[in-house]
Amino acid sequence: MTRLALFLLVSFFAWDVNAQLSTQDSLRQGWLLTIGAGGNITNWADRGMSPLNYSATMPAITSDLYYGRKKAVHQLQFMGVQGQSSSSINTRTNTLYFHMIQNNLWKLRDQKSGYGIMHYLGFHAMTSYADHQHLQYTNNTHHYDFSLLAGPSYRVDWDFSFFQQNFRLATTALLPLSGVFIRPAFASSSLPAFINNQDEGFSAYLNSMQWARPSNHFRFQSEWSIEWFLPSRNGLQLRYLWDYRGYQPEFRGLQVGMHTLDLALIYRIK
Amino acid sequence: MKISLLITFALVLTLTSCEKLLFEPEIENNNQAIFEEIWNEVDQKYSFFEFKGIDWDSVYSVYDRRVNNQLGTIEFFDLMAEMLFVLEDGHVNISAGFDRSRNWEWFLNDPPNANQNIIERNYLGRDYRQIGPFRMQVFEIAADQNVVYLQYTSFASVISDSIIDFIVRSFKDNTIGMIIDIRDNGGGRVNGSRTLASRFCVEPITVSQRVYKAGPGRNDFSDPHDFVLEPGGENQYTNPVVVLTNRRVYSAANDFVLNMQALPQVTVIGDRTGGGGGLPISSELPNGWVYRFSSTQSLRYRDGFNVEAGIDPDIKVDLLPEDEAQGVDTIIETAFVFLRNVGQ
Repeated sequence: MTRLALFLLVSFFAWDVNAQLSTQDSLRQGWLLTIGAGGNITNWADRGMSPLNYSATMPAITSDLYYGRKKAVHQLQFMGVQGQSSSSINTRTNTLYFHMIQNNLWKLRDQKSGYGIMHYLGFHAMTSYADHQHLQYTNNTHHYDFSLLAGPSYRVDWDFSFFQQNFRLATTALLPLSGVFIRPAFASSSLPAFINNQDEGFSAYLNSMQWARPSNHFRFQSEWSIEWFLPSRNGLQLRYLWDYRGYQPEFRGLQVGMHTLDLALIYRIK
Repeated sequence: MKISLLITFALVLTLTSCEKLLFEPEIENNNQAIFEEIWNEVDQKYSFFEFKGIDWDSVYSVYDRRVNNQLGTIEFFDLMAEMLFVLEDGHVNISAGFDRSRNWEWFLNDPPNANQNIIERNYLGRDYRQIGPFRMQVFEIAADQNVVYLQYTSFASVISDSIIDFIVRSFKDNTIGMIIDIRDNGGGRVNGSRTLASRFCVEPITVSQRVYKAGPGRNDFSDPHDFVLEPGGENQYTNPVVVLTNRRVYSAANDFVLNMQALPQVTVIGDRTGGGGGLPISSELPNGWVYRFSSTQSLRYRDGFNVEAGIDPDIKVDLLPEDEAQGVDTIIETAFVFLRNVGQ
């Protein structure tokens, strides 16, 4: 792990793929790889397992692949968090695992060149998987939710210079409107038990798939980031991501609000 | 454009700061609210009301009159324990720092059929091997006829693949049979029971079905989902196997018997198992208590038999008092005779 971190840092300062002048346009276009780490606070209420509300403070890892063209942006994002959560009466009673991959495609709608503001509208597809393991008991303690959703998204980039340094302030808003989700009405065994064929619950798990409708599902995600591009044309990014999701399938409602703050290294690949 | 940026920022800030308003509030921490929570959760998620003929609505009527917010902690705990006792289920408990309620009628009304002192002193002896969670001894039951005896008292103890593979590899060619004594095994990891059973399975066999409580109605169950036991590990033990049971065999141990009894070379000897065919789910309460109850049902595949009330052995044997008085375990001796006869 230490070697990987060292490699990333050395690459960050050494890697200069193109020594051309760093104009705002040239910074916006091309391939960027972002690797970040930070912290996450998750608040959640799972009425399938408890009448209590829980909160967890956990480490998070993130990674983005960004491809900017003159009039479009394509972004593939990954986030993973894992940690212990506590209720108002007990500490660290549950383990929470969360992974999310999402793909965004934005088309430039409006541009105020003089101000460096780019206004995009687009489309996203996201898949996320969460496992709340309750009380660390051995059987039947995993409460899963999985979703594959798509919907419109909105992005604003503001490129500006400050003390002769190039910055970008970006914000996105995602509203997944359709797709499917799996939120079983029952607790399940661990994923390895499914994979090792020790539990028949996986087919039941899949059978609980539902179409996401406004009556049974709501999700909203917003991200704010500030990026500082260095003379090497690599960069640093500070980002805040808020992701709220709520399921109300029959009698096991789930509501989750995730707040992630991370610091990332931006590598210009091409 | 800057205005739209500001509006977006303001909207997100409002939503994030109001996030907790979107959440359902927690229930209040008082006796009446906790009673309602327990009764409702059990009402919607417990899986054996019909199977056991329990009138849960009448239970509400009885206990609603007795609950009030003036009851002391222990008094209220005892009242809730008494209410849950009605479910006659070993997987139903309510746990506080000072006690854990339970209904153990499933074995207390029957003979124990196991004497651990006799097993330890007269069968395992001083030179048994402790292999992971197993206590193991080899017996010569006839000339050049050895059987390996394994005692396993809790599926909560993790069984590693390497340990089971070692046992199977060591004894598959030089013993005529195996005795797996799971008497007094109250369960643990269901996955462990299936991992162990897979070492005795030579071809896939559908053993059981599970239904899940999938809705709030008393009979809102999922479709049955088959469990197929498949051969596991590098080798399988194919010689005759005897599984010894008594009424304290429960939960994951009951599941082990269900799996093993489906295999052609396996014979179950002893008493009916205790049952416990429903996987429990757990919940926490705002006063710090934790409770659990069954939320699934397990059915034997070949005849749809619900294993909640236990599984009958193939050969019913009780520990005879006169044998016990002489330090003899009637059930182990019956297994020896059975394997000797099968081996001839």
